Amino acid sequence: MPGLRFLFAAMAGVLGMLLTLIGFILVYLLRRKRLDRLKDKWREIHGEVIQMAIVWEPAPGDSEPMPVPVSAARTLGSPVSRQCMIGDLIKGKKALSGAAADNLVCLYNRLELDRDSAKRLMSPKWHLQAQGIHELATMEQRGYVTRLYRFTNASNEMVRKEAQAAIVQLFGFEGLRFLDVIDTSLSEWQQIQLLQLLQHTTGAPQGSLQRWLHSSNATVRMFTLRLIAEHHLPEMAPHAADRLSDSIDGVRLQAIRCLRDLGATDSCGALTRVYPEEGLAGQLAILDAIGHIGTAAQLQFLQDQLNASEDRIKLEAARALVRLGEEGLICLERFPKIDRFPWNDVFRQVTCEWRL
Amino acid sequence: MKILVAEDEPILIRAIEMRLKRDGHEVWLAEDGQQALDKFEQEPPDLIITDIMMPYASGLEIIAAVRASPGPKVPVIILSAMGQEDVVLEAFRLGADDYITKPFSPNELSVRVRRLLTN
Amino acid sequence: MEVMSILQVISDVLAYGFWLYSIALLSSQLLLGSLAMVQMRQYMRSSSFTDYSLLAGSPHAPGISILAPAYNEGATIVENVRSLLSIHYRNLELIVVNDGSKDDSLQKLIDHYQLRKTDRLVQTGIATKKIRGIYQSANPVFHKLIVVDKENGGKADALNVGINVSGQPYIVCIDVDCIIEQDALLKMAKPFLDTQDKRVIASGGVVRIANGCEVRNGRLVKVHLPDTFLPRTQALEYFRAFLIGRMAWSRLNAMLLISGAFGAFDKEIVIACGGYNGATVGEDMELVVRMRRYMEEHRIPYKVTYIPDPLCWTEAPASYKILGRQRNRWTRGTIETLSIHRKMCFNPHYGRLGLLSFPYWLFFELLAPIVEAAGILASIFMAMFGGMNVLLFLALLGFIFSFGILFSILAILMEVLSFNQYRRSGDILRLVFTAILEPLVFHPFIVWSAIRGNIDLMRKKKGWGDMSRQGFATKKFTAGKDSRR
Repeated sequence: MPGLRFLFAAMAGVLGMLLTLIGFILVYLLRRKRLDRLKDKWREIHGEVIQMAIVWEPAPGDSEPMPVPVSAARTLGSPVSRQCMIGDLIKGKKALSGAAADNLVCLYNRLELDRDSAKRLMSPKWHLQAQGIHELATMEQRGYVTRLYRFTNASNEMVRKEAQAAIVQLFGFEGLRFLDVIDTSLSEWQQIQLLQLLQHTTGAPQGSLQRWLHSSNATVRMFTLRLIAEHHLPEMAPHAADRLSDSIDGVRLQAIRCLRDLGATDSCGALTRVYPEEGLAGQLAILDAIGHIGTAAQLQFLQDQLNASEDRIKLEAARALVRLGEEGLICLERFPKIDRFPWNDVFRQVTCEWRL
Repeated sequence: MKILVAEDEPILIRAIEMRLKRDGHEVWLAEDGQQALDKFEQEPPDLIITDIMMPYASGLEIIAAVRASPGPKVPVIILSAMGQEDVVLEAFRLGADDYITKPFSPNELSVRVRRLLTN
Repeated sequence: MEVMSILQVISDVLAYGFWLYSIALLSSQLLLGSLAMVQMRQYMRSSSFTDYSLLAGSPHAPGISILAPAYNEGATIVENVRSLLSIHYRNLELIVVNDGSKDDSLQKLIDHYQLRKTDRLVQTGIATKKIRGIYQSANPVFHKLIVVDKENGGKADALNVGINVSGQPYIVCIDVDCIIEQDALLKMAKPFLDTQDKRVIASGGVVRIANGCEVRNGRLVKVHLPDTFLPRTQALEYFRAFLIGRMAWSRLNAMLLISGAFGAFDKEIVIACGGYNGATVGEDMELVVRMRRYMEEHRIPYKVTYIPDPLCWTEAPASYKILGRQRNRWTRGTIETLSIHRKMCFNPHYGRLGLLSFPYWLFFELLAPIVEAAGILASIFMAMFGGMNVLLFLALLGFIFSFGILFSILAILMEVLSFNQYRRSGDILRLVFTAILEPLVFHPFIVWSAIRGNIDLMRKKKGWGDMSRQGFATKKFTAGKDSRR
């Protein structure tokens, strides 16, 4: 029967594939085990070298550069071993600062590991390119700036983002220049990453910030507002307040939070003015902001919000009142419906929170 | 002086160990929160350095446990990547003596350790 | 003679029908396998240099509420909660919902975590059974914990209460005795932050089998393959389902189901859809389908993402009886879900969901056990009356089984190449052996449970049955202060 022969042939095919796969798995596992054992051996030696570098200090009056032990150079014959070393150096560099970090960079340079990272930039595989970029940026290889900058326009999204982050890591606010030309959106993740990289940098360029606040790219506007908030630039408050009339919800939300974080008490007036047009999220954000930066002038406004139909508004308004101190609390207590549901629950909750 | 270091990143733990040993301290290592608590229970050290984010027991739990136990007050230094205000405040509220954010400088750590131990 | 020829025709039709179905099924599996491999490679590459710790302390990370319904878990609840409280995440709320337990679960929590009754204004976005009280801890170390005590109403109702109480924009629904990895939430939260144009409404995670693993103080110390056959076959099954199945479907953005044990959801959409549906035993599956349907109907661009990393570990049934009940329930849940949303079937209005996922789930997941059982019964019948080419039938069966084994081996390969959780050299070989034994021992039982599920549903059986758990079997751990039983 033809059907039968076909079936047997198919089964033979399947069994063949099965055995191949099983064979592949076993071979792969064996090879990886061997590699792991090698890596452990390397790690030990590299570990010693790295630890020495971390704690090395030049003797007073001594201008000798940091010595690099011969054992290190010996194990770095194979690219895999060098990759291991780079990985460990990166881990160390990320966790340490000061002299220890500088020594690690010095070690990286002396062992010429930047060549390996640079080689990765030329790989056709995008994840290797991105890795190379990441390594060069972490190890402060500013000499590669032109090559890295070219990648900020790469076709692969992940490579592009990594390159943008790399430039920022190397050059701080200067590196944010790409915000002027970027036409794709900055995802939340990328914004978080960039904010983190800029955490310890100073000297935010006011002119650029103002420009970015008017960028046609909504995510750039949002990012700029976050930047202003994180770096505590109260002189930018009026510009941030301008964004309260932005067309995009997310930008307005960010503007509200920015004003709150800047402690911009003057903007309370603007906040209460835009309040009626905002959606629920915006209104909650405004109430939260007023709770942090408001004054006695806003007490009446807050009390009025207790009459809102949406329970969350009532809650947030009550919270804000309590945050504003003794006067706010009295204002809340004096609210005529305070003994009725749901205001009694609201009252109990916010006072409970405050006590905690 | 006996210092207990609780940190799960191997490179860091060795770096801290080397730095403190060079300063002449005896260093005990713990790779996770539970190990740290166990070692503390066995014998209280003179100072504790701990991360916040660790397996089994967070650094904050460790401070709470250390402060709750009887005996002389053991200084605690928090060494953490979480540098946000509310986490720092919470750590101090629970009784931490110092708070260092990562990335940190081993030299700075050494100085702060010395300061706490001489007080 | 006429009867014989009619029988011959029938048997031929049946055989070829069975054959066609099998070919369709196997081809679709092949397709899924290839898609999964491509997707897995891309995922492993992109996550290789992602620094998730960025999110752990960031104030911009989205707030998450973990919802953990609990019913009569008194024996282990304190440990479970402790384990959940040490998840690395800043903006976290752990909401344990005591679904009217008849034991002392609530009292144990109150005592151990120094809970006090507090007042909280609860949103009533979704109708639920009455809440008896909300408790928070007086001890600042436990400030993330909120315990809600309510009247018994079932898991869906408990989750809905959690949703009402939650104050964060995202919810993660888990079973309270799952072990969750420390950085699980970091990985689950990232997809919500990554996308620029589509809204991510849900992010599914992988459930791994914890049987046989070393568990200490509510945390996984070492991963081992389960010792006994039944959990091991389930581990294999989960590999196939998670590493191949869901990986492939998520590439098509047409994944229909998220496991009940682990998933993150956009709370706003969940409330807009009306929360969990208590009328079905497959409430987790049904919610995702409803959420997807909601987004399709409102024409909002959206995505459901999937994280294949091992983040959540749970205990698998170790006895045939309990396994049978679980599979019975899953079958009933799937049928109920598909039935509730039958409008989507082959409906181009619902895009890939209606044209691909739904039919796939209907024909190749739901009907497969029935077709299989019917095929075997019919063949035996035919064989008895001599109208069937026994050899052909056996060859077909052999082919299908070997294909099944091939698929399992592929799943094992995917695991080895990606997360490689089982490091002992013997483990992989044991898995291979299990894969070979599975079609003979495990599979028929699963088919049988599914059939019973169908029958029970037709008889209008409802509810979960007794799903008593043994507690994680711990292996050779020392210093076992709080051993779990």
